[in-house]
Amino acid sequence: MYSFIPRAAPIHRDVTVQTSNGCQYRVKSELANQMVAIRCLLAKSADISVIPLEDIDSETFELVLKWCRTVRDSKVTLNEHSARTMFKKLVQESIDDRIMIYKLILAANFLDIESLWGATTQHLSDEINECKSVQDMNKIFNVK
Amino acid sequence: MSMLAYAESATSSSSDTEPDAQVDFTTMLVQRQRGCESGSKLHTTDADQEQQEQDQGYYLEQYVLGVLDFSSQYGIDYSISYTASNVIGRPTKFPAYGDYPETFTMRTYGDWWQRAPSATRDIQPQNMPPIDTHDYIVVYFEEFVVPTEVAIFETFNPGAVVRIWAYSMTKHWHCLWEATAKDLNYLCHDSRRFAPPLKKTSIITKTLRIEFNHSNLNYYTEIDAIMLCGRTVSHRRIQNLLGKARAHSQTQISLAASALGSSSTALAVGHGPISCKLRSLKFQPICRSDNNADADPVTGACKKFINDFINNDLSQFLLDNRLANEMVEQQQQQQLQEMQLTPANVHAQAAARRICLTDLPFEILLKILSYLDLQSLFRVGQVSRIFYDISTHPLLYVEINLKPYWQLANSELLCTLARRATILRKLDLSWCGGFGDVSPTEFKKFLTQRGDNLTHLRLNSCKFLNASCIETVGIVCDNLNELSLRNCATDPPLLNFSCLVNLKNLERLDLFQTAFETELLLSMLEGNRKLKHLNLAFCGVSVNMDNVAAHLANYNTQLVSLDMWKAHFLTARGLQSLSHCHQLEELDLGWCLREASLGDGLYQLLVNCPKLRKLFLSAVRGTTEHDLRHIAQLGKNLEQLDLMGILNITHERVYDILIHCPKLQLLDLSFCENIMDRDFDILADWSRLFKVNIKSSRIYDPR
Repeated sequence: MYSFIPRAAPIHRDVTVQTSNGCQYRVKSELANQMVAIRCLLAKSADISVIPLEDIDSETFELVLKWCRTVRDSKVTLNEHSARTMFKKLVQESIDDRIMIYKLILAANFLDIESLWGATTQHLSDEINECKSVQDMNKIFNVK
Repeated sequence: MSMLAYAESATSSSSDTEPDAQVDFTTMLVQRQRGCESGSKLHTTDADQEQQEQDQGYYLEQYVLGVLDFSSQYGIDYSISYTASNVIGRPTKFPAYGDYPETFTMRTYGDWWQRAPSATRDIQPQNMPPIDTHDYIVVYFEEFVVPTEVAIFETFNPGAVVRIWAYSMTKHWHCLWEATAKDLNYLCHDSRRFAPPLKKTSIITKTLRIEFNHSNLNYYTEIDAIMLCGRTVSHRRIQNLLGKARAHSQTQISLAASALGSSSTALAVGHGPISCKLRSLKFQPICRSDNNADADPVTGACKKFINDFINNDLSQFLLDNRLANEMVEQQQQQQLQEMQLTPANVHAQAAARRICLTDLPFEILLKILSYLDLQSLFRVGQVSRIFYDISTHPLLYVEINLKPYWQLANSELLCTLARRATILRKLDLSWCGGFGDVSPTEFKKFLTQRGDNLTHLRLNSCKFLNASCIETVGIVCDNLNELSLRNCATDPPLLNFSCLVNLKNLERLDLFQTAFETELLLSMLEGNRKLKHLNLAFCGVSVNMDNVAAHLANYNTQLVSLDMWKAHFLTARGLQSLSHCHQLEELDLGWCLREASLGDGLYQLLVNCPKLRKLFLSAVRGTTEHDLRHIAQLGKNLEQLDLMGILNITHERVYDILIHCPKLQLLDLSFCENIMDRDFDILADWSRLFKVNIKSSRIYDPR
């Protein structure tokens, strides 16, 4: 699941990213390399100074960076099981409500970070599994 | 078979366990049917007490009368050693502990087969329960009882039983007991009368299914007998129930589908395409409008909005704003008043405040649902229309595995799945459809509709298969890479004359314990030049294995694994042919080559197949000391080696092999009579030194 197919050459410099609410972030190259969308963008036009992220706000982006840092620092090989535990830890530490997880999924989808996308979807699927009844599902996921 | 009967009124006494207490069963049955009063019980009673007992039933312990089905056994059918029929009747060896051929043994143990080159991956693995079933046996008893205890007499390596099912008279399987993780960690090496606590039930049964999981086993587990204890039921009551069962059989069919949580919640009896469609379109959004009718005086369309909000969104809304429980009432009142004025805004407000799960893009929701097992997927589909649409998307039904739901699988479920699985690639219907739950017609229809792109098809132990089903497979599924038809040993054989010759892309063919016509197999071998894995265990009786080997040498040189277990009449000529398959990594010749010496067949094999990782020569008595030397010299890649029952092994040869085969993980030296008892301590030392798992069960066995 996590076989990384690099579709574009790795980045060697730090990139600047601007989130939807105007904040700019300087992202180290090793973290930016996990975001395949940014790699593809830079491969096409190498001289972009600031990359705009219209759909991602600062809070979400900081969580994304946190995840990327955890992946970079982890000594265990990244498979399904380890990603699950890592993500659970992240949720316990920094995420208060479910909307944040939805925003994280959308961010992972947009930035094409395979590990985060797998971990978030797996997490939600585990939560669905824990629901014992249809009412539970409605309540927890706010389904109309 | 033998049976011990206790009258209800009698005080419990242990004298009944003596051999003299055995009663002639047939006579008893006949006498009871004739309403005879005396002689049918050990403690005779007078007339009215017996009438009372006949109505109430009495406590009964009975042993297995016959075996209906089993997924695998170690011995071959016509033999009496290590076969499933050994579980019939009283225990013969219990409480002795050891490796006795008078017991029921299954084909595998531990995880060695999962580590072998021929190992397969589960289809739709998320469906499998945490402790999955590797093997099963279905047995029946003489009398219907309400089960209170099931005792399994394990005489070797206990601890593999994971589930006990009972087949009730309402034609349902009920799980009476299920193992937890700690049940599998039973490490005591002593015989055991295993009687786990059963669920309290009132079903009436005389058929049991015992399921096994071998992953923690050190060696084969062996079962001597199974006992079913319970309270009998009077014949009058049985007749009543049978009548009711027939009347209800229609509704039971749709109950099974709803048990799986599918949207066919109606108990309607119609089976036609229209009613099927109607049923599938129905779903149930939660709407408790009747309860809140008195709460709010607002009428009309507003009611629905308010109720939806109150039921679905309000609690979440409050939770999000972290309001204390005491304030809930207040808030509710306030909100109600607000909403009475502007009901239309409620929905918009709620929507604007939060994203909900269904706002995520379709592909993400699909990915989330793709982790779910089939049962959860059906349940999710009942939540709302959006979830129904996503959960029925064909991309979630590319792989379908109904093996863990064998007791629920029926024709209706196949019908439902056929609608969704438009791009089906892998299908596992193993163990399903026993007792007539799946009709061959429905299966053929399913296959004709959805089978043309199938690459993997597993139909192990499918009792509903008939010759025309196999024909359909042959005609429709021409893209098959893997075909597994284990345990289809019908007579006349299912696989006959040219029904599967259309398949030309097979890489894996599994015919373990299945009967087929030799010409069919030979023509299939000719047609499938890319064949990599072939399992012909237990097929060697009616099939000339030398011819098969010759064909393999000519047409299937890409072969990676071959299982010819119990092919007694394979000769040295056949063995020579096999050495033409240079890619061989796994070869199981257990109990083969009975009639002949090996010649230099084994040497040729070892020279020409350097990739060999697994070699089973169980009871291949023609193996000479030279052969053992060759194994040591040439078996550089050997990981699993079974030399059970080979007489020429001495501990020097064992040492030779251990030194020269660096990758060896498993070495089975059971029943090697030339190894002295005193040598076994040395073997234990070597096992630790070379890090090889050495098996050495050594109770004397006159085979």
